[in-house]
Amino acid sequence: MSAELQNTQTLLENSILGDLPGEALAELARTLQIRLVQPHEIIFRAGGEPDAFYIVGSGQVRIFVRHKSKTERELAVLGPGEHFGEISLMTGEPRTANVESLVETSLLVVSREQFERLLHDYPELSRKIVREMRDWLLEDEKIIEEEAEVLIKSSQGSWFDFVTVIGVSILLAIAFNFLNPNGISLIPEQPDPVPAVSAREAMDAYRQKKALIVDAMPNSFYRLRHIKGALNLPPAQFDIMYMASFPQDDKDREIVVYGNTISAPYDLETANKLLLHGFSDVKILKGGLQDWEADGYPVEKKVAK
Amino acid sequence: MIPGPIKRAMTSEYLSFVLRLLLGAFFIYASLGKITHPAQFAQAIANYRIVPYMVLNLGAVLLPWIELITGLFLIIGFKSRASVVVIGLLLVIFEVMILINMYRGVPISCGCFDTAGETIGWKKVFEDALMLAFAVQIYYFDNLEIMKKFKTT
Repeated sequence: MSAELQNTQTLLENSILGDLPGEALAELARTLQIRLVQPHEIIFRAGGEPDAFYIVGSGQVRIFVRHKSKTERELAVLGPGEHFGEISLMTGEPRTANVESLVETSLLVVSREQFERLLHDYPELSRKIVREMRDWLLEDEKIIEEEAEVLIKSSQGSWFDFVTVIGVSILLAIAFNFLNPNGISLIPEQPDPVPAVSAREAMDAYRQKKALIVDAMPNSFYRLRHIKGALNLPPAQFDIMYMASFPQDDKDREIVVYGNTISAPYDLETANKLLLHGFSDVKILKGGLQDWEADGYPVEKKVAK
Repeated sequence: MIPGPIKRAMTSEYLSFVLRLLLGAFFIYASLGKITHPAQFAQAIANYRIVPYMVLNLGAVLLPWIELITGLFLIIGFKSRASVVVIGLLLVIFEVMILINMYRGVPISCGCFDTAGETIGWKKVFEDALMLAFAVQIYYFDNLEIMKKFKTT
């Protein structure tokens, strides 16, 4: 008797069956079966034949699906008064999800025949079930939308990611350069200016063998093309090349230095180093090798192989 | 046109994973030779005659660190998508700089892995293009973020 009362109580709490007329509920409460399950017992599996509709009397169950990739996805956790298993009963198709008890659970089992009779006698039950499924669909749609958003976001990569990558690099680079004993100043100092001569003036001095022409470009550039008779003295190798091969006896001799690019004022750097070494008459060739060649003055080129 | 199995292999996320390790290690290795000697590296960049003098040192200090960080991020999978885009952009810039100087005809050293090193040439152009292809494959087929998402649900 008390079990029947308890069943009625549970049925009244249920969202689908709760509104049934009193006598129908009472009959159902009298005739339905009770199934007791241990914790973590599988109640039914996806793919199984549908045999009943379940309402949780006490305890807790979880509904889940397993994907092909072996990942598991929980659809719901149900407690007392909540129901499951109606979809397959209505369609006659195999079960679409797995149900497992989480704790010791008692289930009210409405058999297939009982359920079908109820649907037949009370057509509004179907409408309730459809409305419930519609809510699931809306919820799924929301999930799909959220997941799509995450996917799109992760595939685009935000501006913040670029700022992070570049920002971390810049911070570490500047900190490291500050601590590095070989560190360099981030903004290069401009070399002191040196008086300049035009290609024509330089040519006059050159003809009279008065001036020494110095090519300050790196060696690979010098080897490719330089003013005929020019000595190579790039600032990076200044000390070695100066010691090894530079004529140092006449410090008053006129020296014309050329060679600069968008990336480096080689001519000024070498000229300043020569001034430091005591040469008094050091000049820069205005317009460099380009102007010299444009005026038709002699250059030496590497012969193409 | 392309047979199925080859297409599947080329678009595979497992290939992306291998390429990420490879490209990341390459960039880390490339950065280490230059990172401690910015002055020499600045000279190597100056040889290309493209970067203006005023920003030359800044570039020489920053570039190896950008290579190191993007390489590292690519391997550990942190902000790896942004990293591979930065790496791709760098590779395009390197390629353009190399091709311009091959056209100019001066046999300058690459400065790619250390401050002296190999002279630029078609071998470098090919290496660069290959790494760029790696970066493109990783950009389109690396599945890291999606895998992460599945683990958390």
